[in-house]
Parts: sequence; C-alpha cells; structure tokens
Amino acid sequence: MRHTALGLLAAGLLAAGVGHAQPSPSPGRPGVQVLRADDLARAGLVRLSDLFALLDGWYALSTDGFSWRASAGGLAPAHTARWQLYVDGHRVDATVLDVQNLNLVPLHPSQLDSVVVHHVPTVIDGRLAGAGVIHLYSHRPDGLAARAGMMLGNEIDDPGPYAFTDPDARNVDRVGPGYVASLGYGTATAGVEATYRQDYQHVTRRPLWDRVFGVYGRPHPLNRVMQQSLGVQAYATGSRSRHRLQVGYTRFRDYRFLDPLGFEIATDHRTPFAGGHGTLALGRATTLSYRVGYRRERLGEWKNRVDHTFDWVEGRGHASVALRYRRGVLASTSTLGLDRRVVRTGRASFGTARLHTGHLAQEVEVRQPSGLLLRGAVIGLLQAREAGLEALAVAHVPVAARRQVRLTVSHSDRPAADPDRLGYWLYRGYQVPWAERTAITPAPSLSRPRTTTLDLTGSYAPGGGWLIEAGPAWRSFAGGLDAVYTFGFVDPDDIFRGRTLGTAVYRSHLRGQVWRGHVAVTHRTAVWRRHLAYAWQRHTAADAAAVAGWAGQPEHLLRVHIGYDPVPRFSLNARLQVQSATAWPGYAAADAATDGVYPDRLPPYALLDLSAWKAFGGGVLEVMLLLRNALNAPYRTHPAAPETRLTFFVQAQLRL
Amino acid sequence: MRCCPASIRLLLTSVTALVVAGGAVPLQAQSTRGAFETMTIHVGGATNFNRTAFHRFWQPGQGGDVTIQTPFYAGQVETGLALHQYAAATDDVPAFDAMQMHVGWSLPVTLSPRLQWQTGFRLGNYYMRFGDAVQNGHVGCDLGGIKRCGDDAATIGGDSESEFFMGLHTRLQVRMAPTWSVHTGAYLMNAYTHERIRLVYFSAGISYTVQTPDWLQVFLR
Repeated sequence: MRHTALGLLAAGLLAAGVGHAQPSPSPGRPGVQVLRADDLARAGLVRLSDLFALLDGWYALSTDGFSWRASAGGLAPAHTARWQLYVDGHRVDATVLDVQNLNLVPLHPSQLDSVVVHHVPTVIDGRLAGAGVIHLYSHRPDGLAARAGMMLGNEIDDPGPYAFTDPDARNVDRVGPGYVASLGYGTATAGVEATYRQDYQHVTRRPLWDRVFGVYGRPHPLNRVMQQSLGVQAYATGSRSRHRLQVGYTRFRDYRFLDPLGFEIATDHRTPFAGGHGTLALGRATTLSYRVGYRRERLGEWKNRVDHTFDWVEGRGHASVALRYRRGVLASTSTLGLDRRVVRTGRASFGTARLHTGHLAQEVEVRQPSGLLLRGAVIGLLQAREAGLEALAVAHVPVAARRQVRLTVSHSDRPAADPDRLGYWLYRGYQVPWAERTAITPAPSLSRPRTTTLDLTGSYAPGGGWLIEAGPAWRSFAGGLDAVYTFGFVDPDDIFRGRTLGTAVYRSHLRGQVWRGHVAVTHRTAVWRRHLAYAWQRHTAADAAAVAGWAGQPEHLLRVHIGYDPVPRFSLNARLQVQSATAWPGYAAADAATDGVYPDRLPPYALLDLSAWKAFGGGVLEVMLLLRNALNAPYRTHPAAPETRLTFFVQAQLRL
Repeated sequence: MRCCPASIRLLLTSVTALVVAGGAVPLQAQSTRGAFETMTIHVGGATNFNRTAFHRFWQPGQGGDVTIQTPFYAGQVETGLALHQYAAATDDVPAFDAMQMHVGWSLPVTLSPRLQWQTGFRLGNYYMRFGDAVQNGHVGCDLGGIKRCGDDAATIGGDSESEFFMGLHTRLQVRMAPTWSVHTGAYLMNAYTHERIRLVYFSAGISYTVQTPDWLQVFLR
C-alpha cells in the first residue's frame, strides 16, 4: 500500500504519451552520456551538483548537502573524487583539499548548453582520465545578453511555534538563497561573458552543529556554508585558429568533514584561477593545440577557540601542447604536458612540499568510413623520482545499422600518489588547531596504484525515439590509491567534551576488483523525455581498505527521469532514485563523535523529485518549483551526515 | 524502505490520477488559446474549525486571503496570500501571526451556467512571526535550541520562522453578475513543521473576473 502512489505515478508517467510525434534521439556514443539544454533547464536542478543525479551510474556522497564527492561507474572510490572536470574546454580544478566541488564553478545549470559525461576511461589533453569526466559547455552569448536568477530551498521539520513548547526542538537546514548574475556580449567569432554566483547553505542540523561546536566551543557567527564565484570567459575564433581564456575568483567558506578525523573543520578558501586553451592550424592536416591553467587555493584565517590561525596555500598549474596530424583515416596526436603542485605553510616547521608530474602521450586513431573507430594511447609519466606508464585502447564497432559496440581497456601504473607526502602536508595544514594535541604519522611507505579497467558497452537505437545502452565492466585495483595517515588524539578532554577518539588509520594499499553492469533506456518524443538507468556493482577480493573505499556505493542503483512538455513553455518533471543499502566500515570516529547515532550501515531509500517549470514572456522569465524528496523518505548519503527530508525549492531566472 | 506519510501519499495519489488523466488526454492536444484568457480575483475571510494538539497552545483567529486565479493549459492555476492570527492559549507561548504564500492548481467543474465547483491543491511557504515572545524574553536568543542573536538571528530567522506547506482546497462559486461572483469553500493546510500544523479553514468571499490584457496573455503564455 505504501508504494501505491509511487507505483501509480511511475506507471502513469511511463504509460502516457504514446502516440505523439517521435523524433529520434541522437545515436550517441556508448559510454558517453550527453545532457541537452532542454533537459538541464527543466530537470529540477538548482545547483551544478544536482547533475550527479542525472548521470548514469555515478554515486555522490555528502555530509552537508553542498559539497559532494562523486564516483563514476566504480572507476574510483568516491572519497578520492578523482574524476576530471572541464568547462568549455578548460581543465578546471574546482578543488577544495584535493576534492572536486562542482558547486564552485561560476555557472548555474540553466546556463549550460550541454553536458558531456564519460562513464568509461578516456584520454583528454594527453592525460588518462581514468575516473570519469564531466565536461560542461555553457551557452555562448548571442549579442548582448544578461541574466539574473535566484533560488531558495526550505527543508521541512523546522520547529516553528513548537520551539516555545519543546526546548530541544532544533532548526533544520535552509538551502540557499543562491544567486546568479551574468553579463555578456558575443558574436559568432568572438565574445566575452562574466558570471557571478553566490550560494549559501545553513548549517543548523544537530549532528553538524554538535561536531563544530565541539571543536570551536561555540557556533561560529556565520554558521553557514558560503560560496562566491566570479568567472570571466572570452573566446575568439579565426579562420585558422580559435582561443578561449578564463579568469576568476572563488571564495568558499565551508565546514569540511575530514574522513580520517570524523568531524568538520571550518575552512575559508580564496581561490583565484586563470586558464586558456586553443588550436592553431599549421597546415592542411596539422593542428597545434595548447592548454594552460593555474589556480591558487589559500586557506584564510579563522578564529577558533584555541585561537590558532591557518596559513596554508596550494598552487596548482598545468600546461600542455599537442600536435595533431590527420591523413586519410589515420590521425595522430602527440602531447607534452606538465602538472605542478606546491603546498606552502607559513610555519617553518611545516615548510613547503612540491610535486611535478610530466607526461608525454601518443595517441593514434583510425576512423573508417564504415564507422569503425580504433583508438590507442600510450602515456609516459615522470613524477618526482619515479616513472609511470598508462595506456588506453578503444574499439568502436558498428555491428549493424543501429547497433554499436564499444570496448575500452585501460591500464594505469602511476607513481605513488604523493611521494613527497603532499597529502600529509595538506592535512597537516589543516591540523593547526590541534597541533599541540595531535600526533600525525605519515605512512611508512606508499605503494604504486595500479588500475586496470575493461568496459564493454553496446548501444541500440531501434528508432521511434528509443535508445538502449547496456554492458558489463570490470576494474582491478592493486596498490594504494590513498596515502596513509595515523591520527592520534592525545588530549581530547576539552575539545571533544570528554570523548576519546583514539587512533584512526586511514585507508591504505587498496586492493580488489569491481564488477558492474548497467543498462540505460532513453525514449524521447515531442512531449515526453524518459530515461531509465540501472547499475549493479559489487567488489570482490577486497581488503579492508577497499571495503572502506567502496563504502557508500550501493550494489543496486536505479534512476528514472521523466519529463513531460505538453506545451513548449511548460514542463513537468519527475525523477526517481532507488538505491540499496550501503555499508560504512571505518567510520568509528564519526560514530563516536556523534554519540553513536550513526550506524555502520545506511538503509536503502527511494527519492522522488517533482518539479514544474514555466517560461514567461518567450523565455524572459523562467520559474521552477521543485519538491525534492517528495516521499519525505529520511535518508543520508554518509554516516556523518544528517537525515535529509522533503525540501521545497523556488527558483526564478530573468534573461534579457 | 520507509515511505511517505499519509498526507503526502494522498497528494501523490491525487497528482498521479491527474497525470494519468493528462497522459490519456495529452495537454498538448488541448488548445493553449484558453490559457490565461481571464483572471479572477478572490477576496475572502476564513475561520478555522478543526481541533488538533496545536489548539492546546494556540487559538486561530479570523483570517483573510487574496487569490488570483487564471485558466491554465489544463485546469486553473492560482497564486495568493493568506493572513492568519494565532492567539496564545497558555502563558508559556507567544501569539504569532502567519502569512501563507502559495501557488496552486485546481480542476473546475461547471455544475450549471451560474455554478462552478473547483477542487485542487496548493503549496508554498508559511511564514510565522513571533516578535512579542522574544521581546518578552520567553526564550531570548535561544529560540529553537539554537542561538539566534545578532548575525545568527539574521541568518536563521530570529523571531520568525518559515516552513513549507501543502494543502487541498475546494471552492463553490456562484456567478451573481457577468463579472462578479460569491464563493464559499474550505481548505486544508498542512505546515511541515516538526510537529505538523494541520488546520482546516472555512472560507467565503467575493470574486471578480476580468479579461486578461493582451500583453499580459502574451507574456504569460
């Protein structure tokens, strides 16, 4: 009975609408998912991190609902968040403490023209993107273009007037408000656009509040996650070349949950960034392309109960040059690149850590007129004093008129993630408030991470607006994906109010295999947009570190997205996600820090989002109402996160 | 798996039925020409008549509401404001005022040339203000167990609170003149505070219907 409404809704939405005009979807490439502007504008997205819910087989975890760690198709543990992010061709490091945070990009989902997502390993810019890629493409301004928008979300279960009758009643999160404003001017050959985005997430939930209170002794006056991003993009296209530049600045004030510690540390990041990329035709068959980028993340000062201040900066830069030559069916690309990371702390005892990684890649591509595509790449790495080798092979075979098969094999044998203890320095930089109380022991040795993946994906487009994709995949992990740190809390009395966290050993020497299979069915008509994706994933022969690494990635994940567009400027959307229970070993610290409230296993849950979108004035004004978690199923994506309940969003955008 | 409370199931079932009906007779097949052609302004008063645990602490007073309603691609959409007052029933709690801001949808059924019956749902925000209580020092800055002084008051809400609400409403409208009507009806409001505030109001008032200006029709469509 309790699922009757859900079943009726799904059945009704799936059954209705047959018989309309049926434009065929683009055949797509197996292993690559493309989200179009229409899907994005109407799908009930209020932040870029909401995209994760639309990506087949991606898992995303969060403790505060703002910062999400994601994993694509079992290619990496979610906590490492090794997937790569590109925005309009720029390689973007929207990272905080080494973890990509999609919400720091100065873009709103409605500004996106399309999103291209790689669920399987690929090579971009001469680098093996072995853990998935999200590439955001924004709308180009057409003439003078301006935009302003805001969103606000309200999660239920506030005490309301009962705060006066129940002294223990607590407020719960308010999401936002979030603002976006952009101004640009563009033609077919050149343009510039500036976007400013600001967002808030109020940290009022008791678990977070208690942990932060325990560390800082009192709630910080600005008890909210705050993000401000300003980005300026410019592009120019000539007859033989095209170039893109970006500069920007992000400020992010966060309560960052550190897994090894089991509690949050308030952080204040200021990150200027700049980058550029372009191509230049050197001849009829030869093209030179370049890509450069730099960002500098500075941890700002933060007053806390022990009155320490942070002084920590990470600089991260990359540069690469590629020469592409095409003759007949053969294309060759040679890439030379360098990545540089430097962590500096102001304290002499901490010093500076540097990591340089050079790579030389050779790609060869054979593309037959029949559609057969063979692609191979070999990448040599030189990092500090060690060398590594990565390889990728792709066979894209059209087996029939509407059927394609893609086989992707990749192997990565990299130098140890941070031979110079970069992660150690990262974490130690954050350890300043506990410097006198905390003993940090870096790992005695770090093993080389060796990863092998195999993905077989087939797609079938039978016509009538249908597209079906399915296939198995296998991954093998041997060697440490993470550095190892031992945290010992020797004097927890006042900070943790008498609780002793003891010593926690972080993940090490991750070893195991992941098996998975997925099927995705898309059906588009003039009125309906329907997408169903199911993924099954299981790890085997896993050691304790691997079990901890794959924690939070459920064995079964089902996503259904249904959009109904009865008229061009009105849309109803439903999005359903069902996932099985997940285990969470290794989070005893979080459990202890929250009085044992959080179990070591998260129950299964079903989430249903319902949204209505309406455009007024020919698209000048867009309004969206969204009920997130309409079933009000209490769920959490991380044991240290609070339960999330029904949330009501209002979003409006004005475009001129 | 845990599922939703009865009220949400009821709403979902209603929405499902409407969506299924919409799928059977696709909205696209309907003309969009009728959408937004007229606008009806409903002004009325409301009085609460159910009793719940909420009434042990507060006594709802008279309320008023203003709603603007217009034909949609299917049914009618509306947006409106309602004001409610709650007097303290005990000395331990303050009185408070509440403003309900909503959007809604309803399905009209014409019973006779002069009589129309509408039933639908509303959702929106329920904003409550407890100014007197804080000034009187009932809970000081510690409302809700969370410090709410200074900046916190601004960020969390201070002496006010807002919460999501959903509800159902029904209205019987009798046309008295080409543009004037009287209406009576009831609506159920469920504010999703930790302890739900579930109130049923009886309402009555007058309605005035006008032709939507062409420029506004173009904009709305």
